[in-house]
Amino acid sequence: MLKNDFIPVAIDQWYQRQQKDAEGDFYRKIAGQGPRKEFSGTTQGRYICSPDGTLLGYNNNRGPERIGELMKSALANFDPNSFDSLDPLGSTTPDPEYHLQSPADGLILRVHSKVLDGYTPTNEWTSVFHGATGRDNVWITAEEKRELAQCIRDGGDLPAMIAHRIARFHLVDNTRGEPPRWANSEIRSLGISIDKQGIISGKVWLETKDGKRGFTAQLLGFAKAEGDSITRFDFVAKGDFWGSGRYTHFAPVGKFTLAIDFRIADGTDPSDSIAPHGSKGWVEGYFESLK
Amino acid sequence: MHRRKGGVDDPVLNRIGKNQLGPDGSDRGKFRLHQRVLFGAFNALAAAVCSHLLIAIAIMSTWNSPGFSDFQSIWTGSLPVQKLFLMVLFVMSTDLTVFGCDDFTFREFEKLHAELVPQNETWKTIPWHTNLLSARRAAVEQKKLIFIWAMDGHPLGCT
Repeated sequence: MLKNDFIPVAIDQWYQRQQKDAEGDFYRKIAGQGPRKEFSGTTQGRYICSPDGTLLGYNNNRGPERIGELMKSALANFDPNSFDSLDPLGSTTPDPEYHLQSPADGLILRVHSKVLDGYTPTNEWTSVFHGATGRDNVWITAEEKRELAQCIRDGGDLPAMIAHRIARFHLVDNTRGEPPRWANSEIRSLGISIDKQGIISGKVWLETKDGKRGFTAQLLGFAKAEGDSITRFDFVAKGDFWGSGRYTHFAPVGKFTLAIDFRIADGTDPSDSIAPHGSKGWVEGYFESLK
Repeated sequence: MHRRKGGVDDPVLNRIGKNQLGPDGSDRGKFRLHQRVLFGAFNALAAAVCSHLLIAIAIMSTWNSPGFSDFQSIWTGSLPVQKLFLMVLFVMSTDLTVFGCDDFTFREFEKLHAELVPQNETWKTIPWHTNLLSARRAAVEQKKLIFIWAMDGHPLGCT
């Protein structure tokens, strides 16, 4: 039904509800007809609207039956010939503050994370997270990509900016929601290197000042570069994680095993175009990861 | 090396990455892969020999005890090929104990690298737009409704 009868769109509404451009205006027009009209807070949920922005249904329930009912109800109330002439949407120039683009000629790594143990059986609501996979992307600039290619060819420590970016924004438990990032002061130890055979190895110790959240992990993988082109950059970080964040409740009690996989994105996955979660709200801070 | 306070001498890190440290306890002069493999194989062999020796001594010392009569009768009543099978089982079980450590190995990397990316996920078969205006244009052209999945954190990315 979703494929055939709807145009599906997935967004992080934190951007659209603040964007000062045509897309932001259109989103606020739709969401403003629903129950979450205060755009200073979250407006998350499922919205169904006609192309002119008329809201035909909303809910924030993830149960498939409820979503199915919502879709059927909207279709029943939809007249495909009701929007022959659409209102202009004003400026279509994207708001640069919220419209992030991956670095030109850079490198994107796909990130997948999973908790491997530690959960005990719970209710239906929270148990869906127990087998969940967290997703994200790493953005590496063109200049950093050249440095990385040289590091792979010659062997040595991973460029500090990339190592810190990976540690601070991507060695996180994002399997149950938006995770807290690591501050530079929470990097207790970090060492990632690539030898001349292209073997990536390293270890990291991240921990908050109060010790309530931390991650000690080993990294292992393979890299290959041909000139400035990086053809392989596969590695996994695996270790003990403990604690949770404001939006990642219901973590296993105590220490649990978290594994995080990194690989080059080839543009074939619908997630490849999504900005890194760590860039949300402060993209400069994401790229200047040493500060 | 961009290391913060703590360093590799921290007990937590030693616990997770001891085999990657050099002879002086630092990670300078880190062992190469083949050195690590040889060193690991030597350690495993030495441990296996010691453990087998200890278990053999334990068996011999209890051979005539009343509690050992069941095993004794099985052993003496079995054919040579059955004895060989029992010995292979014995060696395998103790070797698995010796090799079964919680360190991160290349074999485990390959396994996790293959398994951490879910396959055949239904949501990936949906032709998701990631921009509302492109979705609106498509909806006008195809005379369809727009279904918006709006979350905190991108549904296709984080979470």
